[in-house]
Amino acid sequence: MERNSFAVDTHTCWNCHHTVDSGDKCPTCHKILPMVEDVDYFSFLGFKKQLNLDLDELEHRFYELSREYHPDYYSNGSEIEKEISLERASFLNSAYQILKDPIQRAKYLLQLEWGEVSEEKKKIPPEILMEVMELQEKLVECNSETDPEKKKKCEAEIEQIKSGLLKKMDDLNAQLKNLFIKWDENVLNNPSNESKQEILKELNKNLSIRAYLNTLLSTINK
Amino acid sequence: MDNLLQIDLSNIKKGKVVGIDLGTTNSLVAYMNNGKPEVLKDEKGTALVPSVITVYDDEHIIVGEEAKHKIISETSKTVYSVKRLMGKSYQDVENDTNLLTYRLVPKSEGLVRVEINGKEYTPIELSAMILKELKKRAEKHFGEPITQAVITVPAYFNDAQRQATKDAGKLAGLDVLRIVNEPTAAALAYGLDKKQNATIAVYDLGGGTFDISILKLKDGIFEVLATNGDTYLGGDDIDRKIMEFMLEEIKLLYPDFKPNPSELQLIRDSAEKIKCHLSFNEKYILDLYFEDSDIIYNRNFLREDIENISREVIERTIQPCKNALKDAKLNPQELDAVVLVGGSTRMPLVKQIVEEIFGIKPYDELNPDEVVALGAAIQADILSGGTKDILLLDVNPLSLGIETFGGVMSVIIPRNTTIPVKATETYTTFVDNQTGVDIHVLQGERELAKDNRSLAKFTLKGIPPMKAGMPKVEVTFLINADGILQVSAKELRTGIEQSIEVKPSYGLTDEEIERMLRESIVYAEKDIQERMLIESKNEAQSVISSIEKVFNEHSDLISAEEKELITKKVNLLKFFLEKDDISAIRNLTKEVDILSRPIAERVINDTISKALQNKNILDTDV
Repeated sequence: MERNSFAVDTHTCWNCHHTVDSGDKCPTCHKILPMVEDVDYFSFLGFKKQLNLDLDELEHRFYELSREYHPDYYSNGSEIEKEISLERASFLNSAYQILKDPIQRAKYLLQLEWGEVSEEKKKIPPEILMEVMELQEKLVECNSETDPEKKKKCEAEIEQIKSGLLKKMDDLNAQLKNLFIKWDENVLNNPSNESKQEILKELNKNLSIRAYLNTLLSTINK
Repeated sequence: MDNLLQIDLSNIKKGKVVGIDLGTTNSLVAYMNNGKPEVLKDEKGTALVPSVITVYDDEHIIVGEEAKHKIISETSKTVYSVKRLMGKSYQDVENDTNLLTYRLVPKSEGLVRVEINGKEYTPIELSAMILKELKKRAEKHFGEPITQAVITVPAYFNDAQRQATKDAGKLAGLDVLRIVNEPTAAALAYGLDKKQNATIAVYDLGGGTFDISILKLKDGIFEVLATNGDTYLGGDDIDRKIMEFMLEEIKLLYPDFKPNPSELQLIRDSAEKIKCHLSFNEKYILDLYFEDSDIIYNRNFLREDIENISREVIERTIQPCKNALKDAKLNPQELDAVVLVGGSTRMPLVKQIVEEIFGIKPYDELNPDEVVALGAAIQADILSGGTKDILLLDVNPLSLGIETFGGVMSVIIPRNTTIPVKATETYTTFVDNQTGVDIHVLQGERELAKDNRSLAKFTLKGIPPMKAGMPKVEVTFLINADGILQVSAKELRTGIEQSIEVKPSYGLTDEEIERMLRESIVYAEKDIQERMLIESKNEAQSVISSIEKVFNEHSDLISAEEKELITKKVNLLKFFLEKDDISAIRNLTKEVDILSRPIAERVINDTISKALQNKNILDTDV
């Protein structure tokens, strides 16, 4: 996560030295203010930590804030203003990039809740261990097979494994959709909800299986 | 867009900010006049200034139409298509020297140089000469000094080329407020005219470069969804094809014909004339006389002839268009318009191919030579505080990343990310007491570092000696609104910081960014295999080293049989590691891993029980 690099007093305006709140502009002189530490992408765009987002609304807010922060509008400003605008616009662009994609959004939420999630790509999720083994064997078999008839058969079997994997991906998508709803219903307005950790665990599992499935599918597609 | 005319009075004192289209073939200036962009014309009413320079000496330089007329008489002193040399090394452009009529300094290091009258000039200096001429014209027109400008570049220009353009502006005495992408500038001019919400593609085929950009226009926001292109593809390449065709024909008639530079220039000149003429006519009667060689070449060219010759060049624009649509996650049917920009789009064959790609009749009512400059003027107006209703949200055209273990490129900012953008990644050391970390910055779409453009290399020095993996080096990539990259690195435990402006190493081979992206599709398969091999090897190495460590440190926990069996497998694995046999490596790694699992459990149990006996052990186990 990015942090602002300004060693400034966050309680007074850098320009007029009047007291400021957590807003983006100084209430007195209306100058743009540095970002506060630990702001997350959701709150930056005015959302709660929710998993279902109205994409039109997201785009609308992204455009609105772009009009506030874009460096184009600070071309004649002071160096401080230019730097703050660059900081805010960069953060905004990253936030939009992540939030508009449901998978990235979910990963980001996990990261917010759990801190850095360890790279689990090396570990094969037990749920698809069978498929992985089977696929690996078949791929080796196919590659070393010289008889065209047998090779064809082998490739057909790989196709079959592939459609099995695609089916699994569909299931994952359906499950993810449910998790999104569950999170927003239970946790969004009640962060101490007892099902919270359970949902996060499920979410993490779903995402890591998905990542592995994607790798497998791209291996098959060569 | 009612407030378009609102002008902030505080900025008037600063003087006008002009928009400049610095083109391969022609350049021009535009400015805002009462809320409408207009191109600047000379007394004769001409807006286009040919991007041609004749250098007699440093005090006597001619730019524009007059220089264009000197191409044949002053061949060695006259330079054209300088834009194609920006940010390039000699190796990058070497293959084109045979048909070039001015001299490049051969085998030079770094940025390619042009030799005129025995003196060497960089493309940056030559571009600055054109910019100075444009500045002079603007100053004459306005009767006041012009010191600030927005300059356009092809969207697919890389970091080196953008930086070179900015430097040329500086050399010409201009404060370059912004580098703007040409198709985006064209979209601004188009959008301001149409005033409607739409999703459009801008197909920009100029003299030397090709760009395709896809944009969403909504309530004054111009959001670029994706961009793609080829910075070495344009009308020049079509001319070259026609030249080659003519040369071959002449040589059939006169096998001994060896054109001198001015005769070569005559052929080049005719090639361009034939092409332009046949965009609007069906037939061209060529009648050429080469005085020095005393050779006559005459021939009738039909539009069809030129289309057959140039088709291959134009078809090279198809793939970038498809890539851009894919990156924008759009089908051609979802586009409301395809806007044509750049002089080469006047060719009927280009229009036809564009229609085939997108399935809609392209919009060709803008002046393809002027629209980019008009857009630059609008952007200049925005930057000088003129209008707040319009905002451009542009993207970086190529992925940026860093070389990681095993020569793999790790992408930090993917292509088509809205700029400005900042991203950070944390890296660590591999060896105990390592005091420096090398950072190798890359640009491109290929899997392996060696296949991408190397932007810069630097070393973060002075890391205090620590165990491998302890230091945390945070690398920050910042792409500003000009699309220019800044990289900084910081060791988090000590706060040691290093910031570098990316000054690219031009001295690479003729690795072009567009070639990289093209190849990334062709080579994707090979890349993935290579990457998988590297990853499998790394994994195998780490399994081997951990089992060997256990053998050394915990020999009491392992039976002789176990040791023998595992050692046998490990030796086999080492054998296949040498052979780069990916499936054997994978299978054996898995086997060794499974075989060593029970041992690992024993080691853990042993460590825990020892720890319980002697709490001090925890102190050393950080």
